[in-house]
Amino acid sequence: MGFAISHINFSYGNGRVLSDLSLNMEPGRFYGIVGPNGCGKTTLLDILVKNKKPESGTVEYKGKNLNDYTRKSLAKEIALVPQDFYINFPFTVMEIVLMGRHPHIPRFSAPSSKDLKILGAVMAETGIEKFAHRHITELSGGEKQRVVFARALAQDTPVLILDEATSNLDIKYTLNLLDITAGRVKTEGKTVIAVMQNLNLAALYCDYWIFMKKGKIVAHGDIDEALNEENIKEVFEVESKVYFEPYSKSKRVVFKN
Amino acid sequence: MMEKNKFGLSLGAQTLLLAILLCAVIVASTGMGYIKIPTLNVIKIIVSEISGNHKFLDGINHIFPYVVVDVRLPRILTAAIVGGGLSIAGAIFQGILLNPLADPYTLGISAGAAFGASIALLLDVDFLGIYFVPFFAFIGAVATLFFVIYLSSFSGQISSNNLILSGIIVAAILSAGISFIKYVADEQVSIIIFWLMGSFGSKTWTDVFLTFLFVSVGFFIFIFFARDLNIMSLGNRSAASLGVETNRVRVILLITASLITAVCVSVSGIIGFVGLIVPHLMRFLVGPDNRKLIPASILVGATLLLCADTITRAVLPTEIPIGVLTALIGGPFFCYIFRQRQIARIMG
Repeated sequence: MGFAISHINFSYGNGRVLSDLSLNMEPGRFYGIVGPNGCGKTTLLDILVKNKKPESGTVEYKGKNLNDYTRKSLAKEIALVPQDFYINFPFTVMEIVLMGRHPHIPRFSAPSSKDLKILGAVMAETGIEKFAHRHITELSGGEKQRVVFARALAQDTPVLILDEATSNLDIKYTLNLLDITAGRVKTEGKTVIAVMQNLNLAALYCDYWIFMKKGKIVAHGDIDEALNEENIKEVFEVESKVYFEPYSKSKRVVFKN
Repeated sequence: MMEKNKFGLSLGAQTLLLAILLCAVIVASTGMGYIKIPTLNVIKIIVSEISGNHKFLDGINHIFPYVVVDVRLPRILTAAIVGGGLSIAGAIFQGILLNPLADPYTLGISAGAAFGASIALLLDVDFLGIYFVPFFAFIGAVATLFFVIYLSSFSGQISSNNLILSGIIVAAILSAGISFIKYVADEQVSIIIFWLMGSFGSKTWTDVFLTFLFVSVGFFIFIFFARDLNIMSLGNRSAASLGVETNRVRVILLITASLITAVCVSVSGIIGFVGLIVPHLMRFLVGPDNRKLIPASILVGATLLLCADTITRAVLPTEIPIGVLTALIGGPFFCYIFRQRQIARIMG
């Protein structure tokens, strides 16, 4: 059992952001949410992590209403890599990644050996151990984003939510982090829900596509059926051509000016 | 995994060392003043007072116990507690507002206290005796706090930018109000100005107990939420997704830190820069982790403000208001560390 979203509405002041949105998401899949700017993608993610509450409608996770979870118990289930982050205090990279273990460490306790093992493994996997002792405030935007990504991996939750989580990264680390994430979906049955702007990157990783426009889901389905010229036209209002590309063994989307 | 600080000390060793330093400064400054009292006699008097065993007083000048217990210790302890209180309140405001340059005055709390005190001094009514002015200062501070929170909250969310903006606006209005009160105050104006500059003169044991109560309760609340505050420096969204009840923690810490500030300001007047510089300096020495920063800040803040008060009380030929002294020493010092950090950032 994953998420069951039924008939949710959300608005800021007079502007309706999500209207009557329903969707089911199963565990063990890599979901990609695409759509134009301001279509409500980030708001939907915020509702999934209970950062915002829908005005009407319900969201269930594992068959239980999100409102019935405490923040702490939800933090053991769902991790979030935010789009923007601004850390003003000189914590070391290791301290930041260890904060990912926060929901697992009781108040006034030191991290357990399991926490430290996960910390070491995640830092090695994401290639940030070489600046483990540097201050987060001294890192470049891309390096910071890798640290924040590693922090969410250290949280070690069944669900990982990525809100344009690789927007500042060069292609090497983008592939590195998304490979790690996709690996966890395959081997550990984790669920990933990712908002992505780059359709070709999404085509490499996301096996289930959700097209959003003006607060509604316009189309959704497996990549084979949902990723097509009609849906891209419908959502982004641009002409494109979608084809299978043998080198990457995935679908490609191309545009012309 | 026990984290060590820059000097290779654990949290326990660091706290113990700073606590010993504070005790030494308390004893040393008690001996200083118009009447010099030898350090050993000071210790004997304090021990006899705590144990109730007066045989320690044998051979000590009869006036010394009176000077130590009734005149100097209340002032010295109030200065130390206020210094510690302003410092941890500063550390918490910086943590909540995600701004290393925030201090207890950013939110207009002290301007509120000053406004309340000015009104009380202007009215000059015989009510509550000597606690009339502190009482008004406290009311002014708390009323300002709630007004600032009201101004900056929107549909149950409080953003740190809104808090800073609201604080600055309210403080500006209150400052104009204080100027107006000074203008209409006639002969009371010198009393108002003097109060606003801050002083630990003629403090009593009641002041000691009152500030100790608020500062110590606040300290334990801060330590309880220290780790949550660490996580909150990742930003609201990240902190919430890590299981921190961000709004609840923010409101609890905001109210606690403001009450500490209000009590400190109401007994001692406006003492600037302590709440800004001490946490800033400590963050540089022990790191930004609030679990280490808060104990270090309370002890070092107490030591530094006590030293400053002892300088004006016992070293300088005439007493200058403590608020003026902290601003005169702290201001340039802050400019220096701020500049150094800018240079380090550009060079690094």
